[in-house]
Amino acid sequence: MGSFHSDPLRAAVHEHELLLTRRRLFAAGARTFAAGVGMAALGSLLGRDALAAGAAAPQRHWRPKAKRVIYLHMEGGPSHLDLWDYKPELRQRYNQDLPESIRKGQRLTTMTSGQGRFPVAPSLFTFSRYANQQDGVWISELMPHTGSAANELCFLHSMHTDAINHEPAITFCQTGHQQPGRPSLGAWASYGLGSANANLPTFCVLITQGIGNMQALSARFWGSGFLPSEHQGCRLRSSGDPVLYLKDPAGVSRTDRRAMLDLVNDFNEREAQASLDGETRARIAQAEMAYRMQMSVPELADLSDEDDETFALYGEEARKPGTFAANCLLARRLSERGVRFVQLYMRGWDQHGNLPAEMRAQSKAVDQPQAALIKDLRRRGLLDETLVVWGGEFGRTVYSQGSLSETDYGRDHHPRCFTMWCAGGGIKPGIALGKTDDYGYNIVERPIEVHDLHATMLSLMGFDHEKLVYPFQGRDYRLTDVAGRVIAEIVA
Amino acid sequence: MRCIAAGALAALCVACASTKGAAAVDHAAQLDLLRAALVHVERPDPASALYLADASAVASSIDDAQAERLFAPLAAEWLDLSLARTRIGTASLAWLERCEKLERLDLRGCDGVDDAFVARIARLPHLSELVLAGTRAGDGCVDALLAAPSLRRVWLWKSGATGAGLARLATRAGLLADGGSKPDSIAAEVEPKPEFVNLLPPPGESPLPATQVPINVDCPVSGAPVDARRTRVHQGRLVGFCCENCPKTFEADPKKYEGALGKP
Amino acid sequence: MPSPIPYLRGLWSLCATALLTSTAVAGDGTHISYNRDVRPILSDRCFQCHGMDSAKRAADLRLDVAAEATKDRDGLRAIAPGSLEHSEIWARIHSADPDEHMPPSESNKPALDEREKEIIRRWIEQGAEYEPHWAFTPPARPTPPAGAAENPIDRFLDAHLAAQGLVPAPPADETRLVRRLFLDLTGLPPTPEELDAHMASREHDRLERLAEKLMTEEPWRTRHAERMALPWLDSARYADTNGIHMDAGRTLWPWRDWVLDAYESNMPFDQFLVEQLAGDLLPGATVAQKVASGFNRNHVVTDEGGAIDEEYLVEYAADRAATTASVFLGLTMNCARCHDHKFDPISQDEYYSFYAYFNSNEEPGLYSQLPDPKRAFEPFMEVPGPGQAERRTELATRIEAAARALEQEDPDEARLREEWLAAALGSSRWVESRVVSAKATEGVELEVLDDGSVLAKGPNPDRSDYEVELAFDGVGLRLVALEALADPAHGNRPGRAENGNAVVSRVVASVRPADQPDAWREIEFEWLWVDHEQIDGGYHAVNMLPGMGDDGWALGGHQREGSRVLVLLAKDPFGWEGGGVLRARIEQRTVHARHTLRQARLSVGAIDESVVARLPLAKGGWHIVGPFDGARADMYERRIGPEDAQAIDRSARFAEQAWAYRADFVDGQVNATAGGSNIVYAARQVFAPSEREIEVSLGSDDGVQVYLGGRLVHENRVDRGAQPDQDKAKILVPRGRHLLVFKIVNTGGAGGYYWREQPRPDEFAGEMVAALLPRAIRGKALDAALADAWRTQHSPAWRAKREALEAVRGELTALEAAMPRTMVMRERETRRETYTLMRGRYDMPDMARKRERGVPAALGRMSEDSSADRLGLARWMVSERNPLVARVAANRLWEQFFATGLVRTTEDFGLQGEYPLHPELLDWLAVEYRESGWNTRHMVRLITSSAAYRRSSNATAELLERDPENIALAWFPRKRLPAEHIRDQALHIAGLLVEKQGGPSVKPYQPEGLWQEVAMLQSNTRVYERGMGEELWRRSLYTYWKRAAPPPSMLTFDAPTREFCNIRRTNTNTPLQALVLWNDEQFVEAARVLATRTLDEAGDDRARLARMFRRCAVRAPQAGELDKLEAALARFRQRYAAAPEDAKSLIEVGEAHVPAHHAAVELAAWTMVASSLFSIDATIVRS
Repeated sequence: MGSFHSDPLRAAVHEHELLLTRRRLFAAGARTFAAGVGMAALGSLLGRDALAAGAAAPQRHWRPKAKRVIYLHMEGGPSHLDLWDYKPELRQRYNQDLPESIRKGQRLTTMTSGQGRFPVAPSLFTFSRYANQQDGVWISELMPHTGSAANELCFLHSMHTDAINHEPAITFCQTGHQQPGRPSLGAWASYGLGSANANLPTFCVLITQGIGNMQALSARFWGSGFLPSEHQGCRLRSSGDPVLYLKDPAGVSRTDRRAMLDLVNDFNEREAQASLDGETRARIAQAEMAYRMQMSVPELADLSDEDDETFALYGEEARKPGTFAANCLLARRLSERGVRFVQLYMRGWDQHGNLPAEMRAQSKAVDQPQAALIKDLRRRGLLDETLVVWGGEFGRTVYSQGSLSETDYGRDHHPRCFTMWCAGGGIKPGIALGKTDDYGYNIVERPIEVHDLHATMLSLMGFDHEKLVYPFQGRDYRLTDVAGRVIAEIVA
Repeated sequence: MRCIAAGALAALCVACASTKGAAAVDHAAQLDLLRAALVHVERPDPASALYLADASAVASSIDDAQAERLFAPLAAEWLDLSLARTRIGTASLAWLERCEKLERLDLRGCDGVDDAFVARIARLPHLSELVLAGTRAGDGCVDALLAAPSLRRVWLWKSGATGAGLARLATRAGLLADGGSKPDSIAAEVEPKPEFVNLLPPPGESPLPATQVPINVDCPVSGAPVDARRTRVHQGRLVGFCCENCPKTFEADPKKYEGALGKP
Repeated sequence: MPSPIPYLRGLWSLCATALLTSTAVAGDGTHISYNRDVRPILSDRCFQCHGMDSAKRAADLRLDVAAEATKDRDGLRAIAPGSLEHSEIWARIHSADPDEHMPPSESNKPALDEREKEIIRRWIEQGAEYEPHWAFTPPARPTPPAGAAENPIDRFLDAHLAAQGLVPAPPADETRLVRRLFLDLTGLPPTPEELDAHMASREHDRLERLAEKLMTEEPWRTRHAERMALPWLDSARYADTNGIHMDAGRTLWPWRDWVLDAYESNMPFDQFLVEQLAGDLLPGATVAQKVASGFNRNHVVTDEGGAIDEEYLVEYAADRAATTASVFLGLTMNCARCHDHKFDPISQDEYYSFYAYFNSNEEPGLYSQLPDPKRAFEPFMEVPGPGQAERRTELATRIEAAARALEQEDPDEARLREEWLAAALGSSRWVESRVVSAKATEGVELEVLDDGSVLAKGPNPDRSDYEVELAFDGVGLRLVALEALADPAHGNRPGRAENGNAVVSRVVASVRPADQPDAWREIEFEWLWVDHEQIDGGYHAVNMLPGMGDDGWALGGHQREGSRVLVLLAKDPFGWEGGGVLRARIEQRTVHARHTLRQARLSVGAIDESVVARLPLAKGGWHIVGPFDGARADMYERRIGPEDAQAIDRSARFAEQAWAYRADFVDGQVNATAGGSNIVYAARQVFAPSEREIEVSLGSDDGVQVYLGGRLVHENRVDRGAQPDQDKAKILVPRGRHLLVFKIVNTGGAGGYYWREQPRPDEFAGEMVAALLPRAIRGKALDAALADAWRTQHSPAWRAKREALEAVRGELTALEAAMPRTMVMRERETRRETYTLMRGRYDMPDMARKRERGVPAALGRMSEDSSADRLGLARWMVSERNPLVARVAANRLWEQFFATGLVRTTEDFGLQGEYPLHPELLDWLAVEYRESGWNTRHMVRLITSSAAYRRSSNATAELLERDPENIALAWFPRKRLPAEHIRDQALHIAGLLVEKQGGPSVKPYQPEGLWQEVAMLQSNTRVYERGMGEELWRRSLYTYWKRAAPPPSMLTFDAPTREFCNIRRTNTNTPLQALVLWNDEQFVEAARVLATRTLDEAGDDRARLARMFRRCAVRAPQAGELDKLEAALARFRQRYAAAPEDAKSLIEVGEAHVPAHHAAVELAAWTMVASSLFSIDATIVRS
């Protein structure tokens, strides 16, 4: 690597990749343009963490409260009325028509716009009030374990979004924009924070197949959009290779791979000397890291070092790869090792019909493991540095979609209000914010946009969400687009 | 997925240009050393003169000697050190005690850490968060912890600490000691089982579709494949049709075609 | 916590200053150019609030327009040309007061640094001259500066090098150049033979000849087309699935074939643009030109139930506008969707004028969900494959000939038929009759016409009964005929309903002798026949017979024009010597309002008893009830109820299930019923005018029992799949009404049944019954049908001709089904109106701002005669008037060879785009491109023959120091190969590559389960079925592209997801890339096949290693390198010798055949060496 000059300032100039005018030379990011022109791309060589030399790497604005994020996305839109938004008075309004004054002509999906009536369907699950740092929070019988962690959780009852359908709604809550094309949350975190563990991917994605009606997922939910594609999420899979192409083919041992690597590095070192191409030398570092990842990822996925007490906490399901329980345990093990952003998906929350039965099964699969994750992080001293966020892409309607009976009903999509919760990473524990009306249909207190949540997450990660930008097609793009205000009430 | 060796970066050198002359010189080299050892180092924010370090990538390979080589030279500038699951012991105290700016120290799972070890680091002036979960520290270091000048949070889950020790720690105002067995929040109040006043409309009248996808595959009137966008609600079930005029025929005389829809 | 002004940022800019001044500004001494130096600063720091966007403009001050910026505003002037102190801007950018300082902190724009302030100072002092934006003025051809170089490109670049005092790198050595040409022009490296052949030739211009050969001679020409098409697929966002919700499979690969053919034939770029933008609108557009319009159909579409049509129609049009603007004009037009463009002179209104070109495609916003994964989403067209078009015309002519042959009536056959019919009819005849009275209910008047018919007049009520009394002479009569007449002059429909349809509930008739006015006797009808009935909905004519409910007979007037005929057979004869009167009440009481007859005529007649026996059964439609699950044992014995039913009673319930009418179940085809172990009943009503024994041919899956009126008439307990004509059965059908029940016993798997009645030899089958009617009533169509029916039964020759015709027709339909389809643009007849959408939202059009089609004024005006559609737009784009297209196209070509364009923001030539590094060279290339007739190959020859292209790619420390970004191109830029070329190259080197141009996408190796994890259960692209044989080794351009889960190995090497237009791929460097090269089944197999190929060649280890290295790196290995390879080979040999089973498992990876003639240990060792060579930079980097 280029020799260091004695005088640090001089070294800085030489070592440092040059940023020309404020407008990056071109959208692919200053670091990559260097690749094209053969300049010793110090940025790629020395890694892209927050203080990477690469001028394109943004500067953190203040000390982060959250070094890591775990996002639990409940795909399909879990019903806030059957889990968190307690509406006792609705019991008296069973099967009455939803008053027009409440509905105010909301834009309906065509599934229910054809309905003759909109009968109110109160939740048939009993709620209990769990003590927290305020006057307690009501949680449905479906989530007893999560209730037991209420002291750590901060409930946001007044979230709302614009999209009424899954595809645009999920894209919106993962990328801040309804149509494809923008980087996902994890990609922004990877771009902003860089890696904190050289042996593991910076942004990991874990998917669990649900029991209920499953909606589509797409690579764009964890894609890098216009950011360099190195920031895209890396899927950790429960079957076959945990990371795609990780395992060496049958008949190739670790020592074989080492021998092959030495041969390749030798050739590349020669090539780098001749061409002074920084990218060639960087590839040597990348290959070494790939070699190390072949050990660190399986070690991560090998749960033999977890004692029975862990499986008692997370539940026996945690022993079966691919389940939500197993993925929660993996999320803790990833965060413990400094992985910046872990994105979990639990599919199957789209209960247009047969809601009670499907929600019982879905809740049973997630309740204990997510509560265990919170408690496990806390007792290991990690929770205050790890931000955990839980939620779907929208809520579900108070009126029933499909035939309503005392034991069965369905709910349609409802973007105007839903509930999410978060914990750790600088969030005030054990509080609740925002209220919805008696029907759980409109927000009456402190509406919170998805962009506000994004702004808060970035703020906890040490970024002013208006200044974490990426220039593309002449515009400084932001995760929060042109909106977003930090939710001050919930930041410790 | 991208993860590149972390460590000393030119920006650091640029930032450190502002600190004292001589020490500045080996800063860059020291940060290079840390990077080569795959220890992640970063500034809390660009204007800060201190560093955060995270050794999780290579924890198991760090013993006292390696720790000395890596962390001692910059002892005065560590703000937050994560040495979880490393193999450091009392030998590392020599430089640890010189980390007077240190605010957070994570010693999770370091079995080289005992009461004596804790007693000496507890004296650090700014130390406010100390993770001792999974170490051998126990009740013996409770007094030191109580005397620690700015300690706010300490974690002792799976350590040597007993209920008694934790109780004594709880006496100090402003100090949160977490022994891992923090009581769950209990359901203070459970609402009675809900019963609904049955205002159900006469059977067969509530015209609501059951699921988003029509319940039938073939159009009940013509038998051709259903087009999911042409649906009508019939007796609470979403019925699909193949074209625009079959629904009219169906609605004109539902009884005639309902049979094709199978069980209601 | 407030963010500290990042002083670091300022410091970096400081170092940047030192460099930039040395390169850009000093270009021509002290003169400051607005376009090059000033506009980038003002645009980025000021125009956000002082630019185009009127909505957000602060202090009503525009700095982008000279007049505005220098206007005197009560004493203050933002810019006072020539005088710093009077220029308010100068004070503001220096002001220490945060409220005064520009740009303000809340704009998030950094302050101007010293270099930028210096430029502003000198600009103002030199008179603050504004220049129109460089990219919006059409390029004029600059004269290349004087210089020794022969290629104009070098003359421009050498001048720059001289000005910078830079000494360029020496020319690359020839083997590097040959590899560079091969990779840049075909995407594949030269084989050792090709390299040697080139090095052996002595011509001085052999490199030019090589470039020519690679572009014009096979097999390189096809490879060249495949290489040039690849980046175009990124820009056009080509994919094989829709991308949203179901991510359903689609067929658009014929458009990709069109792109390949275009590049192969060196189609001029203007034609390439026009045909893709507006191929469907070209006068006399060929199939190919329409296929080309598929360019605009590549965007993502939705089929998510509940999505709103209008919303997605707006998104589709916006995507087309954005893609066209960025690919051809290099403009970020979509920024102006919600507000005026912040930087470029494009107002929101002008955006919607451009958008209006694209929002009138004949398409739905929300597409329906259909199972076919190869569906071409409408609008689409058929694209006959090679030879298919000719085949189709040939088949069409053969059909036409066969049909004509069928028509000619050879005279004696006609005569024979007439005689046969006359004989067969015997005493059947129609008698004279005349209408005595005609009245109707609900205010309808019936006018009796002199042709004996009654015409309905006056109001057309929902329901009405017509009652006609007919006086007749004749005895022993049993026939009553009713004609529902249509008037060709008035819509030619039999019904009075809006759609011309009519439904007769029933005909109630009674007769009396002429002389006894009250002795009415009701007639009961036991049989009937009609020439046409509407079967969808089950409106069969037999519904009019007694006991058949009141659905009635629908004439299908909306489906088929012309009159209808009904023949009713009375059970008992009527008539008296002195004549009689028939009173017929035509009841029209269907639920369908106003479905009454227009005009009706009644006749009565006699029928010869012999003819009655020869009449066919009158039949109703098939009804189904079930499936009923049943244990296997008693399925045949178990009687659930339908067995004994006498009639179809829809209100009846058999274990809660009811009869359901199935219009799609017909005779003569296998009708599928519910699968699994169950019982299903199929039944239909039959009416026999006389007792007869009918012969039927059956099929069933699995066992079958046939009941007639409760009696078991046929049974076959067998396990089989339903096929036509499996059983033959003779069934005695007594006279009268019966229910024929077909019990299908399914023991598992699919279910189904088949039923075909064999007409008795002398039966009046099908339309033959029409023989009963007099010719006057029959009409031409019925006559023809009668003749056909007779010939089918009686003229084997004719039957053979007809079967021949059917066969050819079958062939044609099969051909059409196999013919590929593709999605194309098709303009609606009525153009959709376009309004500016407030904040870009589909549901908030601003009715005051209706937009006509047009282009932003800043880009110049379209010629008066240009049509207001995509064709006009395309013609304007390639015309001289357009300032951008030539530059953008030339810049894209440059970027393909030099890794970065002359304008490095290839997708943005607007005010935020980069100023060209070599503006004169860019303009020269742009004009050259147009004036060469948009000849792409000519430009490629020009670029690849330049000295700049042929320079060595080894930078020197000194050059890196002086020009780190290689602006002067003092050395040739190295760049890692794109994802597709890395895979193609590995297959080519191993000899595995299957070269077949075009065709549908293929599915090579991919890790298990990737698609299932993301897809919806019902998606037709949920399961990844890997291709067989050839499909595994085709070029990566053809790999199947599922948007929700693109091929992982491609994504890892920076391929885009193809969900939106991507002009330029990022070029990253990650560990996952190494893992793909090491462990992807595709590369491990290729390494083993390369190892086999190397072992098959003669020579000792070192010779073979050298040859293998030369295949990969296209150069001989240096001594040190060969030693390293030899050592590695030895190590692997020794390792695998110690564990032969490891060797065996390594060489079995992949589907390619594993040769037996090499020892596993040896092959495994060589495979590891080959795998290493696939990963080194010398192989994957174009240098």
